[in-house]
Amino acid sequence: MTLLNASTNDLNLLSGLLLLLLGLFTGALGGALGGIVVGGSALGNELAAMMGAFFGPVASLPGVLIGLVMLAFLL
Amino acid sequence: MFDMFCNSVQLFLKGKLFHDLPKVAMLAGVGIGLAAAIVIALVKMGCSLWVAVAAAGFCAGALQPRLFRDLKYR
Repeated sequence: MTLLNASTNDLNLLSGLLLLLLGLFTGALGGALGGIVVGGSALGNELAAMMGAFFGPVASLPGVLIGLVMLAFLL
Repeated sequence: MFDMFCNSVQLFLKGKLFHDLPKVAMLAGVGIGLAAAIVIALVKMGCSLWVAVAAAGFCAGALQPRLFRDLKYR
């Protein structure tokens, strides 16, 4: 599994943008699941998942950006 | 759905969506800091970048609805 290996870590503009996109989608996915867990019984699963899918990327996108910028200086 | 999103963004920019904006910013900051910490920690532990980003996005995203659960809207 070379893809899992740290040797594939090259951080440039293109890979950074792709990683941000990955962070956006995983954030929305996690947010939808988290929304269902938190508010599924009160709001109904669909609305809770939709609100969660808005909330997730609020945290994941800037967080991933900050993490990658800091790594770019550390690596 | 897209209309609802645009409407929410407009209300947010006018400062009329959330009741307590500093609290919202602080809760968002907690999630953002967690995502950044997970990315850096996993990469330092030897994971590849995309694994670290996917894990951080998923964890922070799943936590955010819990953090934003009892926000007051206007």
